[in-house]
Amino acid sequence: MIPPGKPETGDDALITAARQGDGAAFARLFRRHADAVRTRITRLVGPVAERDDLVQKVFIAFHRGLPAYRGEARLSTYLHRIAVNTAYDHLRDRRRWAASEGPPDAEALAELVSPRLEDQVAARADLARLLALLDQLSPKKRIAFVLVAVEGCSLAEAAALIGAREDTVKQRALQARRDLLARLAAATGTPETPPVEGSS
Amino acid sequence: MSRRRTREAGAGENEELERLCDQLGRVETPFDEITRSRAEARLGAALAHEPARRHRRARGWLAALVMVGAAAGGVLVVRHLVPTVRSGVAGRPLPALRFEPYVVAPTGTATSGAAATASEVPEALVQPTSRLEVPAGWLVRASLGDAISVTLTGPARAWSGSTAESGRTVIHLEEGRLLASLEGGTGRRLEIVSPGAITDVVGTLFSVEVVGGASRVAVAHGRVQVSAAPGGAPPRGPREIATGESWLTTLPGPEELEPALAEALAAHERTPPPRGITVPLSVTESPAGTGVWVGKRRVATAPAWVLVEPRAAVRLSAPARPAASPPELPPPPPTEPPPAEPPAAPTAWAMGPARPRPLLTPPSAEPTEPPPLDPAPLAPEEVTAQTLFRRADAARAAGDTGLALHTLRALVERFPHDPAIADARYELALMEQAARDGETALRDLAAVDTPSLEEPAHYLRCRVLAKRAAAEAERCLADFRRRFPASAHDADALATEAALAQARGGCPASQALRAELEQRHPAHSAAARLRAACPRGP
Repeated sequence: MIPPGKPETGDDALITAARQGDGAAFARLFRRHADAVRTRITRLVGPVAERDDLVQKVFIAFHRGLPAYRGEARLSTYLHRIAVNTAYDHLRDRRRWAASEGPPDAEALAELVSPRLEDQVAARADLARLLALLDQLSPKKRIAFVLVAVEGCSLAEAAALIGAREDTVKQRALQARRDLLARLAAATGTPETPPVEGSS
Repeated sequence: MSRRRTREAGAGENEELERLCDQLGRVETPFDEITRSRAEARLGAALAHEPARRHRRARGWLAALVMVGAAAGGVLVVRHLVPTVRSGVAGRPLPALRFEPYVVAPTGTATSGAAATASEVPEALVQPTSRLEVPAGWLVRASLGDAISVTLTGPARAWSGSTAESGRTVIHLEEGRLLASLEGGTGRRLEIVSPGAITDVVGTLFSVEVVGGASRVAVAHGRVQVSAAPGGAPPRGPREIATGESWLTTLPGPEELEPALAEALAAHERTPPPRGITVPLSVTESPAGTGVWVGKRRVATAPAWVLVEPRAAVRLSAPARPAASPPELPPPPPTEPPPAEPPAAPTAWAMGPARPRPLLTPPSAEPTEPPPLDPAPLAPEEVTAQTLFRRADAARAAGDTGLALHTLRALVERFPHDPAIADARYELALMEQAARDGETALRDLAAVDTPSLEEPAHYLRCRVLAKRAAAEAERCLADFRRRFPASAHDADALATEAALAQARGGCPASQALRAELEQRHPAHSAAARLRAACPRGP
């Protein structure tokens, strides 16, 4: 067990201690950042059963990378970069092996949106719909789209997290948006916007 | 014309996509304390293997070298090894077993005492050790080898001695009270050495307590033999203590086992050590007094450290309010340490006992409150439907949903014809719905037949259905609005019905309901959301 510790210590001091093998310091870093990492992973891959395994992967990778971590990026950025990579690997593997565990549990997510039943009913349907649409995208497009359109990251932030150029991220997010709009239009029976309209 | 329509449609989908993204962006999924603690434990375990993984290649070479060396010196090793083993068989002491803690928590409900103010579990208490010192206010349950488990209630000190050739494990108790159980088996013996007494055990549930310069030995079941320890009380020859007996070594004969001690022993027996692979679990962020449940047992009170099997169902229950604490035991004599745990069953059904009590939800239910220990005896001569109802109210006010559920179920089962039964079933359904046990909630609601509860019961039924069967929920809500047009729930019912229709068939399906919502409750939050979802309007 990694013993508990004092929460007020800064990340840098904890990282230094963790580098020297202080398990308690690493545990404090985990406690401090795990919730944000879990939320980001949920948004990126959906409420899949393996979420907590993915969070663990993120922190194991972080632990392995401690000796090389120079503090050039903020720790949260560094961790979320690992989280994005981990989410990408998961989405790619899920796609490759078609090992989807079934429809996403939008009900559980919907209850987090609002305590009101009517809001939950609407959110449940919305989230199930969006997650199903996102599942149709390639992992790269999906991640770019979620970071930019769902989480509101700037292109520079998303590019830093993904480790790609800004224009690449922009292209992926735009393509994802076009795909999603087309699928939405097809689902509601609206005629798709012709190319001449320049919908992108 | 056609081009403009297409452009409008594109804008609609854009807005729709923005709205969907906004929903996902509002989702926050932090760990709850249990899952975070589990994740932390798993991470700790995984990281413990990290250096091994990193240096595996180097170790491979080392291992090869060692093997060569071992092969070269094999004959010599065997020659030395055989006498060593033989000497062990001939009576040389083997290494002492260590206490492996599996529950560390404050004693009792932690609403009072030194440990109640602690926010963390003392690190020293969770480490395996051959010498265990438990401070006042804390309780440690530990296993000692495969067959022995002990509970030490602070202040207490004990250390494990050597295991001799007979297979006998020796525990030296210097201070405090030790509850112990030994699974009987061939060659298994346990010896407790305490002031004035050596307690010899073959397989039983018993306690040894240091009282001044003497010892009190009590047996819940089985039989132990107590003999005088060197330097202790004058030797009187071995004495057997049988089930239900308690003997203070300075007294001439045994007495009856005290109920509080019997309960503490029963609690010890109900909390055996986990088997096989285990993971540690810290509950230090929840309020003091939060119950920690493993499966159907309340094993500790926060702040606690518990060793559990990886797949064990661990849950937390709300802390009890001090005002609603169960009846306290009379304070022990000054020479004796405080009782280890409160009794599982209060001596009487006083108002608002705060500990979780038996929960009678069906096994398929997913309770928010963990199921309590075991059925509590109901004393028919003391209990009426009204007293049970008041107790349930008190328990719910204290945040003890498990107890409230149990008490109301007891009411329903024991007083099926009482006028309070409909209220009880409605209250049960409310709690069951909150616990996501829709099936049981619907069953209870079906039995609510009081006119005064018709409207709330009908609405609650619709709410339960909304999470289980959307079509049926829509019908239920429509019927509700028709029957109770002046209900205070009308706006929410209409909004939910519209949301269900929207989820079923999109904007066309919800059109009429949206129009009604706009007309009658335009300020309702759902109206704005539906307006955004269907911008072309009803």
